[in-house]
Amino acid sequence: MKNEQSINVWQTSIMLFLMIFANKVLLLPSLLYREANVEGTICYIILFLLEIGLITLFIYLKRKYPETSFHELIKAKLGTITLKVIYILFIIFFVCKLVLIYNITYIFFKDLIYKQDNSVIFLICFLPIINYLSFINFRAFGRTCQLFFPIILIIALFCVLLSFISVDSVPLLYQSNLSDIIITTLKHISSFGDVIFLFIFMDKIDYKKGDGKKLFSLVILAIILVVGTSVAFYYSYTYTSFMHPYAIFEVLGNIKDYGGLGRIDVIAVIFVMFLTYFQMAIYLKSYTKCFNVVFTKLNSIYALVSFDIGFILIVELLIRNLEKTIAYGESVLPYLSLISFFIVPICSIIFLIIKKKQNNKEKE
Amino acid sequence: MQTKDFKYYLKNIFKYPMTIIFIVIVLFYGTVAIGKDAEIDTYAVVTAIGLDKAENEEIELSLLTFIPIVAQDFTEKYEVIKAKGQSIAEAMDFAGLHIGRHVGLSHVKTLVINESYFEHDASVELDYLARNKNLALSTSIICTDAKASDFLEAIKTLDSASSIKVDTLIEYNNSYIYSKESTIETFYKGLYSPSKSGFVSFISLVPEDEDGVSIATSTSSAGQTGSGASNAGGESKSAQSENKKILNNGETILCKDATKLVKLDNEQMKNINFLDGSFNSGSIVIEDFSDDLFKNARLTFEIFDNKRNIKASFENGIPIIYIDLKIYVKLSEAKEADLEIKENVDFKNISQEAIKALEFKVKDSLKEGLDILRENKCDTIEVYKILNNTDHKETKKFMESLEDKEDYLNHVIFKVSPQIFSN
Amino acid sequence: MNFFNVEKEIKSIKDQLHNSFDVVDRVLNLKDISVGFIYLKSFTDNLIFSTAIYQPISSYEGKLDFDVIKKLVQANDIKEIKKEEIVDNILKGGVVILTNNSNKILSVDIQKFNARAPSEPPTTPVIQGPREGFTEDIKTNIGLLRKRFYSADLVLKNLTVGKRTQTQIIIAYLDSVVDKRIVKEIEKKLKKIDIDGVVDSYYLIPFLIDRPNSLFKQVGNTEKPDIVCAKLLEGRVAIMVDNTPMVLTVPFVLLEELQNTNDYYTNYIYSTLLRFVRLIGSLFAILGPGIYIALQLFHYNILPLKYLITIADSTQQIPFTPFIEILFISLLFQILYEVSLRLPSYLGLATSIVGALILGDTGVKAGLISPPAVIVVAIAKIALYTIPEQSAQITVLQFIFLLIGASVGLLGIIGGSIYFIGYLNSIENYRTPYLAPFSPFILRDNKDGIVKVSLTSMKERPLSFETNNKRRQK
Repeated sequence: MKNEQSINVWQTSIMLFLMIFANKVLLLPSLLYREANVEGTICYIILFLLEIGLITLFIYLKRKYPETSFHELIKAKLGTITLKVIYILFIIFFVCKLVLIYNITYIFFKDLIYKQDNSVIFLICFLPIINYLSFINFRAFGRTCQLFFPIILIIALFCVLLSFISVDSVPLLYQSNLSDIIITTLKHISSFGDVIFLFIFMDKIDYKKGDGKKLFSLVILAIILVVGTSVAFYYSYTYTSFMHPYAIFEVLGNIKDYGGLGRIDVIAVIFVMFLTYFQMAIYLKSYTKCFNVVFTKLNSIYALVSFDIGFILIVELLIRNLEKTIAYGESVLPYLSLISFFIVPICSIIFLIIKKKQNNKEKE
Repeated sequence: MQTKDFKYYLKNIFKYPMTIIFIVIVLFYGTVAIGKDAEIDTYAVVTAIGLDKAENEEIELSLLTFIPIVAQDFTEKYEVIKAKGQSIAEAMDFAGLHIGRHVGLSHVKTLVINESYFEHDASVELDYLARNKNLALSTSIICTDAKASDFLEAIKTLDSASSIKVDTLIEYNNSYIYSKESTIETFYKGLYSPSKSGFVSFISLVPEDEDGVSIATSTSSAGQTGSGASNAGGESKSAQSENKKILNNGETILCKDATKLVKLDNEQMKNINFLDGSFNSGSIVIEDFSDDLFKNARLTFEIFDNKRNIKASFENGIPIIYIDLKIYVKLSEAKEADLEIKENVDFKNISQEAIKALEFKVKDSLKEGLDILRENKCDTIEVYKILNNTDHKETKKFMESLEDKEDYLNHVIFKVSPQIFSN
Repeated sequence: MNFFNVEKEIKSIKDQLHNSFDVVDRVLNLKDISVGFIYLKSFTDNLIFSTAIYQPISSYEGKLDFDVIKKLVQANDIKEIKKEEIVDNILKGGVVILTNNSNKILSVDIQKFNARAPSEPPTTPVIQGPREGFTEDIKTNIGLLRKRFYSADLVLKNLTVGKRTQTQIIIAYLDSVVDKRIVKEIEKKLKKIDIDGVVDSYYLIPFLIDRPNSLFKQVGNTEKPDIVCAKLLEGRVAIMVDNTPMVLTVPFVLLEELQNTNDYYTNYIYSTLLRFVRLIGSLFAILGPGIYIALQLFHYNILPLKYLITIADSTQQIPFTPFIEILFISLLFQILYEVSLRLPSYLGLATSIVGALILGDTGVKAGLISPPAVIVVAIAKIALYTIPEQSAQITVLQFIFLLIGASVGLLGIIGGSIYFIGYLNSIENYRTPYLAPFSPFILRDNKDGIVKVSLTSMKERPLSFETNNKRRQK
């Protein structure tokens, strides 16, 4: 009970679970197939290893600095200007991610269950909810994730397990070489690295020794489920994987009437709805926090209001079509991913080294 | 002071965000909701699509549409809507115009395509199907030699009058030895596979008085039901009011590059399916069989399970495919000139001779099936994939050594060993 | 010494009571002493007064003084009071005795009114188990509670709230079990109340919680002593208010509404099943009409063809749009419910006939409403009462989700449910998370969550809220 707003390690791992799922089960498998065939699964594994590395780094950092927050660390060790620069980059990163996810799900829902092209419906659904979720305290938010987690997990397991029913045969292997894989990995790196929210909320996470197992249990589960979905997708669609953009939805769509229930692929739609809400809320929460760090005098209401106005403008100005969104995701975002895969690790490593030197001095 | 008031207001309104949501939803969207019609009233629910070719390279589209009627007994009333256009999308638009509703394709279960589409690359003209997200991938594709609109008329009577559905007819094919699953998904999967070949189910319409195994009921009044909204140019056959019925013989067309190569009858299909191992039921017949129990008998065996194992290896750069087929059968019928059903004739104990005969028969079928595939250069059993997944370097070398790269089936050695088990 | 002038004193007391008609005063003038009695005839036991107070004093032949009178009075609750407390004591059903040779005042509590006998409360009927219920009389209620704890551990603290009503409030808890901080907090909150009257225990609720404007119930209430007993044993605090059978319990978690008394008096596997039914029922009640309208207005394509045909065929003749139709049926039900609640029971039958037969059946036949809509609303409205204690909240939520479903569809319904769960999670009274033990997930408390285990396995008290003593049994 150090911090009234802190969340426990299970809630953290649930948030990680949600962020690892992110939008990786929607567009990504199909995009990877276009460029790297079935070997796209390897890209997943490479990128997931990077994410695991980030989480491990976080655990080390948390062990060494259990009470301090990330921005305080940067401020203390690297100075205020560095802090502002890094956090402004964070703000840009989170806004870009929010726009990307919103666009992807918008297209997904519009294609599948909403037939009118009415973006106001989506803004009305998403904005108030994510604003509210980022307005309530971190603990309440963590608990909300926790309550929905069983539902999300059951749906995820259901989708992945059921998708193996429709598995047809082994896909054609060995169609792409190493360079294809590396290029694809770099191109889609922006779909990963969402776990940096851990660093932003470092001070609000309770971490005790030995919690790493708990943290990793759900992370590993999520990774298995994500990779499982893409494997099931490749196995059930083989040659036509590139034609079907929405992996988790399509794997269920291939199953014919399941016990007379009609279209069970709706479950995948609901799954994506839950995921999107929580993901966007986590991004927005991170955004708000970063905003408060950069503009110390303004409170979170300013952050949210500025975000809402900016978001509506960006979303309405950007053309909401699938190809444009994909292009945006592949062109702009990989550079921004440097933040999650470069700046954050470097900072963390610097802090760890400083701590180690301090410890050594104390010993001497 | 005004800014302070605004701040206070903002702070408080965020304390009760429910109020904001409420005001927004109630004021703006509640009013919209009150006036919003049910989607069922603005969409025409299509359950089957028919595609014919009209003159001037136009497309004649027929849609079997569910028309809601005021009834407490929930009868299903269907109408066939026809429209023409240069492309499917255009014809869809016109169809919507005719019926005064949007065309809703999410409940389409059957897609009937006239045979003429498969004379050239059908995928070009059927592009709409691949792009439309509302069309389920499990939609059955049926190729027919009759007019697709007539076919839909026949389906219509079936749907309204009985519980037999054409889509289940095709779905059932999948588990049966005489034919192949045929959906949009399998069509495109075949098209994008390395050998670009696949199967499409073929179902014909026969006059009602013709003999034959028929599952369907007859169309009752095909003439009048050609919808009132149908295009004026519809000089279709249905006007002649000829009663026809659907006949599924298990005929299938073999396509390459979405172009029809050959029409296979159910016996040929059976042979290919032995290679594929993709069947759960069916029967094998051996004629003129004699052993201790039977004399010159005609024995029919029912298949109740099968296991196929396919492996590949390379010997001196020559690929060899091993097909290990296990079929589990039981004797279901024996016909003999002077058959007495003796008590000791235990149908469960099939003699070794019978099993040998069966194995010979299956081997024969396998060979015939393979011959069809070799002849048409269609690798529907995915030999290429098996070779490639086993050793992709050797496969590459092997393919490079071939003059005609499509004709690799003829250069692969097949070693088949069917095994029959009786329970 | 300045002794009372009895008659003068009585007159002044009567003046203070505004000479209400039920104020009775008697002055007994004996040889050396005059004794004055004053009380309310409507609120005291006249028989006890004459036999146990008046008669022994009037027939005493020795020398009377205050101490002798005190010994002569044969009642249990005798106390000496100060002059300022006289009116207060009279109003609480006491007889005030004054003498002219003493400056002490005696008050004898012989309060009497016709209290209802403990009977089975209509709000929580049980199939098996105790049928006693609290009454409006706080003394009876205390007796019912004391009867269940033959131990000094049960502490009853007395408070008075309400400037005009001066309502007696009892805070009950088990001394060795409860977390004292909670008791202190409650006391502090109750003492801070500055209200002119407390008519029912419900009046206290807004003062006991952090979010008084919230829709959601944040304090438990029950009419049954066995439930209060169980809650006290869990480490909760009960607040009893005079003149109402409703006893409040805090801290409160939403889970408590899912638990029914009957669950504890039947097989635990069966009660687990029932809890699932309650959960599903309440979920359907909240979301059912909303999802139905969302499917009809936005997502016809996810309905299987067979259902679609049924709905399409039956909604063809309806003159209204789907939203108006379902709103109409919902309002109709709500009106019928209100009417049947308020009407005397002999008319209740008539309303149900009008409601069910004429409005429902004829409405469908006349083509004003469609059967699927009637079925959905009817199921949802019945499902409301799987958790009767929450029916008010669920009804409001039902309308909210109906509106959301009709205006933005399925995405909005999911967003709405996330919003409400987020909101519930931000409620925290007495350091108790409202949705515990689900979020935060507390494994041990889930032994009596949706899944209930046998009593032998429930060895600990709930961890959802703070208690002093975690162990229930060894």
